[in-house]
Amino acid sequence: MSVNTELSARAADRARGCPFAAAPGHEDTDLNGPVARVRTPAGIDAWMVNRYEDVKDVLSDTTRFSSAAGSINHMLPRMWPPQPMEPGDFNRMDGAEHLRFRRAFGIEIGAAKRMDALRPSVQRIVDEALDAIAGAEQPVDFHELFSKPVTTAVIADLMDVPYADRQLFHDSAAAALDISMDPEIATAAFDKLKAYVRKLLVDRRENPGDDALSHIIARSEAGDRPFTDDELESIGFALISAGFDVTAGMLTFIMLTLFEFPAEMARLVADPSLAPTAVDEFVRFLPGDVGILRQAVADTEMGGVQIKAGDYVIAGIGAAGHDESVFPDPETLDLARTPNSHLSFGRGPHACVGQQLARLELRVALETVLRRVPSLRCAVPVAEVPLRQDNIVPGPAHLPVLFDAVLPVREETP
Amino acid sequence: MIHVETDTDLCIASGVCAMTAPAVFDQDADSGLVVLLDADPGEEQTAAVREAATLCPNAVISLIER
Repeated sequence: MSVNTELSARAADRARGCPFAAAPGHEDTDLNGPVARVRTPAGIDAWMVNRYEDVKDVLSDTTRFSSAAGSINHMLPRMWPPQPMEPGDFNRMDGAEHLRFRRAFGIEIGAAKRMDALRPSVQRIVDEALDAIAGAEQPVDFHELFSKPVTTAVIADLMDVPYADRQLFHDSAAAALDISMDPEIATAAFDKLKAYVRKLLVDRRENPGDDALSHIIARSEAGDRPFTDDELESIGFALISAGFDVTAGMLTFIMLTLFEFPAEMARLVADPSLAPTAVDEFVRFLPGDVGILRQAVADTEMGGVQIKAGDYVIAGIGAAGHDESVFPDPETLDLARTPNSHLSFGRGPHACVGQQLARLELRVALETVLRRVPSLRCAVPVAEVPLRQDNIVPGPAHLPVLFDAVLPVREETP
Repeated sequence: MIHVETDTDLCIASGVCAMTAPAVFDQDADSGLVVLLDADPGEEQTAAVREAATLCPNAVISLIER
Protein backbone atom coordinates (compact mmCIF):
# COMPACT_ATOMS: atom_id res chain seq x y z
CA MET A 1 0.00 0.00 0.00
CA SER A 2 1.48 3.34 -1.01
CA VAL A 3 1.05 6.64 0.72
CA ASN A 4 1.43 9.58 -1.63
CA THR A 5 2.33 12.43 0.61
CA GLU A 6 5.67 14.01 1.21
CA LEU A 7 7.83 12.17 3.68
CA SER A 8 8.62 15.28 5.68
CA ALA A 9 4.96 16.18 5.99
CA ARG A 10 4.20 12.65 7.10
CA ALA A 11 7.00 12.89 9.64
CA ALA A 12 5.57 16.02 11.15
CA ASP A 13 2.01 14.65 11.21
CA ARG A 14 3.07 11.50 12.90
CA ALA A 15 5.10 13.43 15.44
CA ARG A 16 2.10 15.52 16.38
CA GLY A 17 -0.23 13.00 17.88
CA CYS A 18 -1.29 10.53 15.21
CA PRO A 19 -2.42 7.68 15.49
CA PHE A 20 -4.72 8.69 18.34
CA ALA A 21 -8.29 9.89 18.23
CA ALA A 22 -9.94 12.37 20.58
CA ALA A 23 -11.46 10.60 23.58
CA PRO A 24 -15.27 10.56 23.79
CA GLY A 25 -16.50 13.86 25.24
CA HIS A 26 -13.36 15.60 24.05
CA GLU A 27 -14.13 15.80 20.33
CA ASP A 28 -13.01 19.42 20.20
CA THR A 29 -9.61 18.62 21.74
CA ASP A 30 -6.62 19.79 19.71
CA LEU A 31 -4.51 16.69 19.18
CA ASN A 32 -1.56 18.97 18.42
CA GLY A 33 -2.09 21.08 21.52
CA PRO A 34 0.02 21.00 24.67
CA VAL A 35 -2.21 18.37 26.36
CA ALA A 36 -4.90 16.40 24.52
CA ARG A 37 -7.41 13.87 25.80
CA VAL A 38 -7.02 10.87 23.48
CA ARG A 39 -8.27 7.33 22.99
CA THR A 40 -5.51 4.94 21.92
CA PRO A 41 -5.71 1.97 19.54
CA ALA A 42 -5.87 -0.34 22.57
CA GLY A 43 -8.96 1.59 23.70
CA ILE A 44 -7.65 3.39 26.75
CA ASP A 45 -8.25 7.07 27.41
CA ALA A 46 -5.14 9.05 28.27
CA TRP A 47 -3.66 12.54 28.48
CA MET A 48 -1.23 13.04 25.60
CA VAL A 49 1.41 15.65 26.44
CA ASN A 50 3.26 17.19 23.51
CA ARG A 51 5.51 19.97 24.81
CA TYR A 52 9.18 19.21 25.28
CA GLU A 53 9.39 20.20 28.95
CA ASP A 54 6.21 18.30 29.84
CA VAL A 55 7.34 15.15 28.01
CA LYS A 56 10.69 15.27 29.78
CA ASP A 57 8.89 15.78 33.08
CA VAL A 58 6.57 12.78 32.57
CA LEU A 59 9.49 10.51 31.71
CA SER A 60 11.83 11.77 34.44
CA ASP A 61 9.70 12.47 37.51
CA THR A 62 9.07 9.06 39.00
CA THR A 63 7.47 10.58 42.10
CA ARG A 64 4.51 11.60 39.90
CA PHE A 65 4.52 9.02 37.10
CA SER A 66 4.85 5.23 37.27
CA SER A 67 5.97 2.82 34.55
CA ALA A 68 3.77 -0.02 35.82
CA ALA A 69 1.30 0.12 32.92
CA GLY A 70 4.05 -0.70 30.39
CA SER A 71 5.62 1.60 27.80
CA ILE A 72 3.63 0.75 24.66
CA ASN A 73 0.62 -1.15 25.98
CA HIS A 74 -1.65 1.69 24.91
CA MET A 75 -1.01 0.49 21.36
CA LEU A 76 -1.59 -3.24 21.77
CA PRO A 77 -5.19 -4.36 22.24
CA ARG A 78 -3.94 -7.84 23.20
CA MET A 79 -1.88 -6.36 26.04
CA TRP A 80 -4.68 -4.26 27.52
CA PRO A 81 -5.80 -4.43 30.26
CA PRO A 82 -2.22 -5.09 31.33
CA GLN A 83 -1.24 -8.67 31.82
CA PRO A 84 -0.23 -9.60 35.36
CA MET A 85 3.39 -8.68 35.94
CA GLU A 86 5.70 -11.59 35.21
CA PRO A 87 8.98 -12.20 37.07
CA GLY A 88 11.61 -9.96 35.57
CA ASP A 89 9.15 -7.69 33.75
CA PHE A 90 11.55 -4.82 34.47
CA ASN A 91 10.08 -2.58 31.82
CA ARG A 92 7.11 -2.09 34.15
CA MET A 93 9.05 -1.71 37.40
CA ASP A 94 9.78 1.50 39.26
CA GLY A 95 12.53 2.60 41.62
CA ALA A 96 15.10 0.29 43.19
CA GLU A 97 13.36 -2.82 41.87
CA HIS A 98 13.92 -1.58 38.32
CA LEU A 99 17.49 -0.37 38.96
CA ARG A 100 18.49 -3.87 40.05
CA PHE A 101 17.78 -5.07 36.53
CA ARG A 102 18.89 -2.03 34.65
CA ARG A 103 22.32 -2.09 36.23
CA ALA A 104 22.77 -5.78 35.57
CA PHE A 105 22.61 -5.47 31.82
CA GLY A 106 22.96 -1.76 31.04
CA ILE A 107 26.73 -1.93 30.98
CA GLU A 108 26.69 -4.71 28.37
CA ILE A 109 25.23 -2.42 25.74
CA GLY A 110 25.71 1.01 27.29
CA ALA A 111 29.30 1.53 28.26
CA ALA A 112 31.42 3.82 26.12
CA LYS A 113 34.39 1.45 26.19
CA ARG A 114 32.26 -1.57 25.25
CA MET A 115 31.09 0.38 22.24
CA ASP A 116 34.69 1.12 21.19
CA ALA A 117 35.45 -2.59 21.48
CA LEU A 118 32.37 -3.49 19.44
CA ARG A 119 33.05 -1.08 16.58
CA PRO A 120 35.32 -3.41 14.54
CA SER A 121 32.76 -6.21 14.57
CA VAL A 122 29.96 -3.82 13.59
CA GLN A 123 32.17 -2.59 10.74
CA ARG A 124 32.84 -6.17 9.62
CA ILE A 125 29.13 -7.03 9.69
CA VAL A 126 28.24 -3.93 7.65
CA ASP A 127 30.97 -4.66 5.09
CA GLU A 128 29.91 -8.28 4.74
CA ALA A 129 26.28 -7.25 4.19
CA LEU A 130 27.36 -4.86 1.43
CA ASP A 131 29.51 -7.57 -0.17
CA ALA A 132 26.47 -9.83 -0.13
CA ILE A 133 24.17 -7.37 -1.91
CA ALA A 134 26.85 -6.52 -4.50
CA GLY A 135 25.97 -9.59 -6.52
CA ALA A 136 22.24 -9.70 -5.81
CA GLU A 137 19.65 -9.15 -8.49
CA GLN A 138 18.50 -5.53 -8.64
CA PRO A 139 16.45 -3.79 -7.42
CA VAL A 140 17.62 -4.91 -4.00
CA ASP A 141 15.33 -4.50 -0.98
CA PHE A 142 17.60 -2.45 1.28
CA HIS A 143 15.46 -3.26 4.33
CA GLU A 144 15.40 -7.05 3.94
CA LEU A 145 18.89 -7.50 2.54
CA PHE A 146 20.85 -4.86 4.42
CA SER A 147 19.16 -3.26 7.48
CA LYS A 148 17.69 -6.42 8.97
CA PRO A 149 20.74 -8.68 8.45
CA VAL A 150 23.09 -6.02 9.88
CA THR A 151 21.15 -5.26 13.06
CA THR A 152 20.29 -8.92 13.65
CA ALA A 153 23.91 -9.99 13.21
CA VAL A 154 25.10 -7.36 15.69
CA ILE A 155 22.79 -8.63 18.42
CA ALA A 156 23.65 -12.26 17.58
CA ASP A 157 27.31 -11.32 17.88
CA LEU A 158 26.81 -9.58 21.21
CA MET A 159 24.94 -12.58 22.64
CA ASP A 160 27.17 -15.07 20.82
CA VAL A 161 24.20 -16.92 19.34
CA PRO A 162 24.06 -18.29 15.78
CA TYR A 163 22.80 -15.86 13.16
CA ALA A 164 21.08 -18.90 11.65
CA ASP A 165 18.54 -18.74 14.51
CA ARG A 166 17.43 -15.29 13.35
CA GLN A 167 13.90 -16.33 12.37
CA LEU A 168 13.10 -16.95 16.05
CA PHE A 169 14.29 -13.42 16.91
CA HIS A 170 12.42 -11.86 13.99
CA ASP A 171 9.17 -13.62 14.89
CA SER A 172 9.42 -12.43 18.47
CA ALA A 173 10.18 -8.83 17.49
CA ALA A 174 7.23 -8.87 15.09
CA ALA A 175 4.98 -10.18 17.87
CA ALA A 176 6.09 -7.35 20.13
CA LEU A 177 5.52 -4.56 17.61
CA ASP A 178 2.68 -5.64 15.30
CA ILE A 179 -0.53 -3.97 16.41
CA SER A 180 -2.91 -6.35 14.66
CA MET A 181 -1.21 -9.70 15.29
CA ASP A 182 -3.39 -12.53 16.57
CA PRO A 183 -2.71 -12.94 20.32
CA GLU A 184 -2.17 -16.71 20.00
CA ILE A 185 0.44 -16.29 17.27
CA ALA A 186 2.17 -13.59 19.31
CA THR A 187 2.23 -15.77 22.43
CA ALA A 188 3.60 -18.73 20.48
CA ALA A 189 6.43 -16.57 19.11
CA PHE A 190 7.31 -15.32 22.59
CA ASP A 191 7.20 -18.84 24.04
CA LYS A 192 9.59 -20.17 21.42
CA LEU A 193 12.14 -17.47 22.13
CA LYS A 194 11.78 -17.96 25.90
CA ALA A 195 12.47 -21.68 25.53
CA TYR A 196 15.52 -20.81 23.42
CA VAL A 197 16.79 -18.45 26.13
CA ARG A 198 16.28 -21.17 28.79
CA LYS A 199 18.56 -23.51 26.87
CA LEU A 200 21.04 -20.70 26.43
CA LEU A 201 21.09 -20.10 30.21
CA VAL A 202 21.88 -23.72 30.96
CA ASP A 203 24.59 -23.72 28.31
CA ARG A 204 26.19 -20.45 29.50
CA ARG A 205 26.29 -21.65 33.11
CA GLU A 206 28.21 -24.75 32.02
CA ASN A 207 30.35 -23.03 29.39
CA PRO A 208 30.65 -19.35 30.21
CA GLY A 209 31.94 -17.26 27.33
CA ASP A 210 32.79 -13.64 26.62
CA ASP A 211 29.24 -12.66 25.74
CA ALA A 212 26.63 -10.40 27.33
CA LEU A 213 24.57 -13.20 28.90
CA SER A 214 27.61 -14.94 30.41
CA HIS A 215 28.75 -11.63 31.90
CA ILE A 216 25.32 -10.98 33.39
CA ILE A 217 25.10 -14.47 34.92
CA ALA A 218 28.58 -14.12 36.44
CA ARG A 219 27.85 -10.65 37.84
CA SER A 220 24.52 -11.80 39.21
CA GLU A 221 25.97 -14.83 40.98
CA ALA A 222 28.68 -12.68 42.57
CA GLY A 223 26.11 -10.17 43.88
CA ASP A 224 23.96 -9.90 47.03
CA ARG A 225 20.70 -10.88 45.37
CA PRO A 226 21.33 -13.15 42.38
CA PHE A 227 18.69 -13.25 39.67
CA THR A 228 16.40 -16.27 39.55
CA ASP A 229 16.24 -18.26 36.32
CA ASP A 230 12.89 -16.64 35.52
CA GLU A 231 14.45 -13.22 35.90
CA LEU A 232 17.49 -14.16 33.81
CA GLU A 233 15.16 -15.49 31.15
CA SER A 234 13.45 -12.09 30.98
CA ILE A 235 16.77 -10.31 30.66
CA GLY A 236 18.03 -12.62 27.91
CA PHE A 237 14.68 -12.44 26.14
CA ALA A 238 14.74 -8.65 26.20
CA LEU A 239 18.34 -8.43 25.00
CA ILE A 240 17.66 -10.70 22.05
CA SER A 241 14.25 -9.47 20.96
CA ALA A 242 14.40 -5.74 21.68
CA GLY A 243 16.12 -3.24 19.53
CA PHE A 244 17.35 -4.83 16.35
CA ASP A 245 14.03 -4.51 14.52
CA VAL A 246 13.56 -0.91 15.62
CA THR A 247 17.14 -0.08 14.61
CA ALA A 248 16.69 -1.79 11.24
CA GLY A 249 13.51 0.21 10.64
CA MET A 250 15.33 3.44 11.48
CA LEU A 251 18.25 2.58 9.20
CA THR A 252 15.92 2.00 6.25
CA PHE A 253 13.95 5.14 7.09
CA ILE A 254 17.20 7.15 7.17
CA MET A 255 18.14 5.87 3.71
CA LEU A 256 14.72 6.80 2.31
CA THR A 257 15.02 10.26 3.88
CA LEU A 258 18.41 10.81 2.26
CA PHE A 259 16.81 9.97 -1.09
CA GLU A 260 14.17 12.62 -0.40
CA PHE A 261 16.71 15.25 0.66
CA PRO A 262 19.56 14.93 -1.88
CA ALA A 263 21.21 18.16 -0.70
CA GLU A 264 21.58 16.75 2.83
CA MET A 265 22.85 13.48 1.33
CA ALA A 266 25.48 15.37 -0.68
CA ARG A 267 26.50 17.22 2.46
CA LEU A 268 27.03 13.95 4.33
CA VAL A 269 28.94 12.41 1.43
CA ALA A 270 31.21 15.48 1.30
CA ASP A 271 31.77 15.42 5.07
CA PRO A 272 31.38 11.94 6.60
CA SER A 273 32.43 13.36 9.98
CA LEU A 274 28.84 14.63 10.23
CA ALA A 275 27.59 11.06 10.77
CA PRO A 276 27.24 11.37 14.59
CA THR A 277 25.13 14.56 14.53
CA ALA A 278 23.28 13.27 11.46
CA VAL A 279 22.15 10.12 13.27
CA ASP A 280 20.72 12.09 16.21
CA GLU A 281 19.04 14.51 13.82
CA PHE A 282 17.33 11.65 11.95
CA VAL A 283 16.22 10.17 15.24
CA ARG A 284 14.78 13.57 16.27
CA PHE A 285 13.23 14.39 12.91
CA LEU A 286 11.69 11.10 11.83
CA PRO A 287 8.53 9.76 13.41
CA GLY A 288 9.89 6.82 15.37
CA ASP A 289 7.44 6.41 18.19
CA VAL A 290 3.84 6.32 19.33
CA GLY A 291 4.53 7.89 22.69
CA ILE A 292 5.46 6.26 25.95
CA LEU A 293 2.75 5.27 28.40
CA ARG A 294 2.90 6.28 32.05
CA GLN A 295 0.37 6.39 34.89
CA ALA A 296 0.05 9.32 37.30
CA VAL A 297 0.57 8.27 40.93
CA ALA A 298 -0.33 11.68 42.36
CA ASP A 299 -2.72 14.46 41.40
CA THR A 300 -0.82 16.89 39.23
CA GLU A 301 -1.27 19.70 36.74
CA MET A 302 0.21 19.92 33.28
CA GLY A 303 -0.35 22.60 30.64
CA GLY A 304 -3.36 23.90 32.56
CA VAL A 305 -4.97 20.46 32.75
CA GLN A 306 -5.70 18.67 36.03
CA ILE A 307 -4.38 15.10 35.93
CA LYS A 308 -5.61 12.77 38.66
CA ALA A 309 -3.74 9.95 40.34
CA GLY A 310 -4.50 6.83 38.30
CA ASP A 311 -4.89 8.67 34.99
CA TYR A 312 -2.89 7.42 32.02
CA VAL A 313 -0.46 9.84 30.44
CA ILE A 314 1.30 9.48 27.08
CA ALA A 315 4.65 11.21 26.69
CA GLY A 316 4.64 12.47 23.09
CA ILE A 317 8.31 12.01 22.31
CA GLY A 318 7.92 12.70 18.59
CA ALA A 319 6.04 15.95 19.16
CA ALA A 320 8.64 17.01 21.73
CA GLY A 321 11.33 16.67 19.07
CA HIS A 322 9.46 19.21 16.95
CA ASP A 323 8.92 21.74 19.78
CA GLU A 324 10.14 25.01 18.29
CA SER A 325 10.92 26.47 21.70
CA VAL A 326 13.74 23.91 21.97
CA PHE A 327 14.62 23.10 18.34
CA PRO A 328 14.93 26.17 16.09
CA ASP A 329 13.26 25.57 12.73
CA PRO A 330 12.14 22.08 13.80
CA GLU A 331 10.72 20.98 10.42
CA THR A 332 14.11 21.45 8.78
CA LEU A 333 16.38 18.41 8.61
CA ASP A 334 19.83 19.76 9.57
CA LEU A 335 22.42 16.99 9.74
CA ALA A 336 24.80 19.26 11.66
CA ARG A 337 22.21 20.27 14.29
CA THR A 338 23.84 20.77 17.66
CA PRO A 339 22.99 20.75 20.47
CA ASN A 340 20.28 18.18 19.89
CA SER A 341 18.80 17.01 23.15
CA HIS A 342 15.86 15.18 21.61
CA LEU A 343 13.87 12.75 23.72
CA SER A 344 13.57 10.03 21.10
CA PHE A 345 15.59 7.58 23.19
CA GLY A 346 13.53 8.57 26.23
CA ARG A 347 14.66 10.09 29.51
CA GLY A 348 14.60 9.07 33.14
CA PRO A 349 15.44 5.64 34.54
CA HIS A 350 13.85 3.81 31.60
CA ALA A 351 15.69 5.74 28.86
CA CYS A 352 16.60 3.39 25.99
CA VAL A 353 19.29 1.07 27.26
CA GLY A 354 20.41 0.27 23.72
CA GLN A 355 20.82 3.86 22.56
CA GLN A 356 24.61 3.79 22.34
CA LEU A 357 24.53 0.51 20.43
CA ALA A 358 21.89 1.91 18.07
CA ARG A 359 23.98 5.05 17.47
CA LEU A 360 27.06 2.95 16.78
CA GLU A 361 25.24 0.74 14.26
CA LEU A 362 23.55 3.65 12.50
CA ARG A 363 26.75 5.69 12.27
CA VAL A 364 28.88 2.86 10.92
CA ALA A 365 26.18 1.75 8.47
CA LEU A 366 25.58 5.27 7.20
CA GLU A 367 29.27 6.12 6.74
CA THR A 368 30.02 2.82 5.06
CA VAL A 369 27.03 2.74 2.70
CA LEU A 370 27.70 6.27 1.45
CA ARG A 371 31.41 5.52 0.97
CA ARG A 372 31.14 2.11 -0.66
CA VAL A 373 27.94 2.59 -2.68
CA PRO A 374 28.03 6.21 -3.91
CA SER A 375 25.69 5.33 -6.79
CA LEU A 376 22.92 4.10 -4.45
CA ARG A 377 19.50 5.40 -5.48
CA CYS A 378 15.83 4.66 -4.91
CA ALA A 379 14.40 2.32 -7.58
CA VAL A 380 10.95 3.97 -7.43
CA PRO A 381 9.77 7.53 -6.71
CA VAL A 382 10.18 8.21 -2.99
CA ALA A 383 6.44 8.80 -2.52
CA GLU A 384 5.73 5.26 -3.78
CA VAL A 385 7.85 3.49 -1.21
CA PRO A 386 5.44 1.39 0.88
CA LEU A 387 5.24 2.27 4.57
CA ARG A 388 4.57 -0.15 7.41
CA GLN A 389 0.91 -0.07 8.34
CA ASP A 390 0.47 -2.26 11.42
CA ASN A 391 3.81 -1.86 13.13
CA ILE A 392 4.20 0.38 16.15
CA VAL A 393 7.43 1.69 14.67
CA PRO A 394 6.80 3.70 11.51
CA GLY A 395 9.05 3.41 8.50
CA PRO A 396 9.31 1.82 5.06
CA ALA A 397 8.07 -1.77 4.76
CA HIS A 398 10.51 -2.25 1.86
CA LEU A 399 13.03 0.00 0.15
CA PRO A 400 13.92 -1.04 -3.42
CA VAL A 401 17.32 0.36 -4.42
CA LEU A 402 19.59 0.35 -7.47
CA PHE A 403 23.34 0.90 -7.72
CA ASP A 404 26.15 0.66 -10.27
CA ALA A 405 28.72 -1.02 -8.05
CA VAL A 406 29.71 -1.76 -4.48
CA LEU A 407 33.27 -0.46 -4.01
CA PRO A 408 35.82 -2.59 -2.17
CA VAL A 409 36.40 -2.26 1.57
CA ARG A 410 38.79 0.60 2.20
CA GLU A 411 42.37 -0.56 2.70
CA GLU A 412 43.52 0.27 6.20
CA THR A 413 46.84 2.13 6.20
CA PRO A 414 49.30 0.37 8.48
CA MET B 1 34.00 28.01 35.93
CA ILE B 2 31.72 25.12 36.75
CA HIS B 3 31.96 22.57 39.50
CA VAL B 4 30.59 19.09 38.74
CA GLU B 5 28.85 16.70 41.13
CA THR B 6 27.38 13.29 40.41
CA ASP B 7 24.83 11.14 42.23
CA THR B 8 25.70 7.53 41.54
CA ASP B 9 22.55 6.33 43.37
CA LEU B 10 20.59 7.53 40.36
CA CYS B 11 23.05 6.37 37.68
CA ILE B 12 21.70 3.88 35.13
CA ALA B 13 25.01 3.37 33.30
CA SER B 14 23.70 4.82 30.06
CA GLY B 15 27.18 5.94 29.04
CA VAL B 16 25.93 9.25 27.67
CA CYS B 17 28.31 11.30 29.85
CA ALA B 18 31.42 9.29 28.96
CA MET B 19 30.54 9.57 25.27
CA THR B 20 29.85 13.30 25.41
CA ALA B 21 32.64 14.52 27.70
CA PRO B 22 35.22 11.73 27.98
CA ALA B 23 37.82 14.01 29.60
CA VAL B 24 35.51 14.60 32.57
CA PHE B 25 33.43 11.43 32.89
CA ASP B 26 34.32 7.76 32.78
CA GLN B 27 32.43 4.60 33.71
CA ASP B 28 33.34 1.96 36.25
CA ALA B 29 34.65 -1.01 34.27
CA ASP B 30 32.41 -3.51 36.02
CA SER B 31 29.23 -1.64 36.97
CA GLY B 32 29.19 1.00 34.25
CA LEU B 33 28.32 3.63 36.86
CA VAL B 34 29.63 7.15 36.36
CA VAL B 35 33.15 7.97 37.52
CA LEU B 36 33.94 11.67 37.83
CA LEU B 37 37.46 12.26 36.52
CA ASP B 38 37.58 16.00 37.04
CA ALA B 39 35.17 17.85 39.33
CA ASP B 40 36.55 21.26 38.29
CA PRO B 41 37.13 21.00 34.55
CA GLY B 42 38.76 23.80 32.55
CA GLU B 43 36.85 26.24 30.38
CA GLU B 44 37.54 24.18 27.26
CA GLN B 45 35.38 21.40 28.73
CA THR B 46 32.44 23.61 29.69
CA ALA B 47 30.34 23.08 26.57
CA ALA B 48 30.78 19.29 26.59
CA VAL B 49 30.05 19.05 30.32
CA ARG B 50 26.89 21.13 29.96
CA GLU B 51 25.75 18.89 27.13
CA ALA B 52 26.47 15.75 29.16
CA ALA B 53 24.46 17.14 32.09
CA THR B 54 21.56 17.99 29.77
CA LEU B 55 21.59 14.63 28.03
CA CYS B 56 22.06 12.41 31.11
CA PRO B 57 18.84 10.40 31.16
CA ASN B 58 18.41 10.33 34.91
CA ALA B 59 19.73 13.77 35.91
CA VAL B 60 22.73 12.29 37.71
CA ILE B 61 25.02 15.26 36.95
CA SER B 62 24.68 18.59 38.77
CA LEU B 63 26.59 21.70 37.73
CA ILE B 64 27.42 24.46 40.16
CA GLU B 65 28.36 27.78 38.57
CA ARG B 66 31.34 29.51 40.13
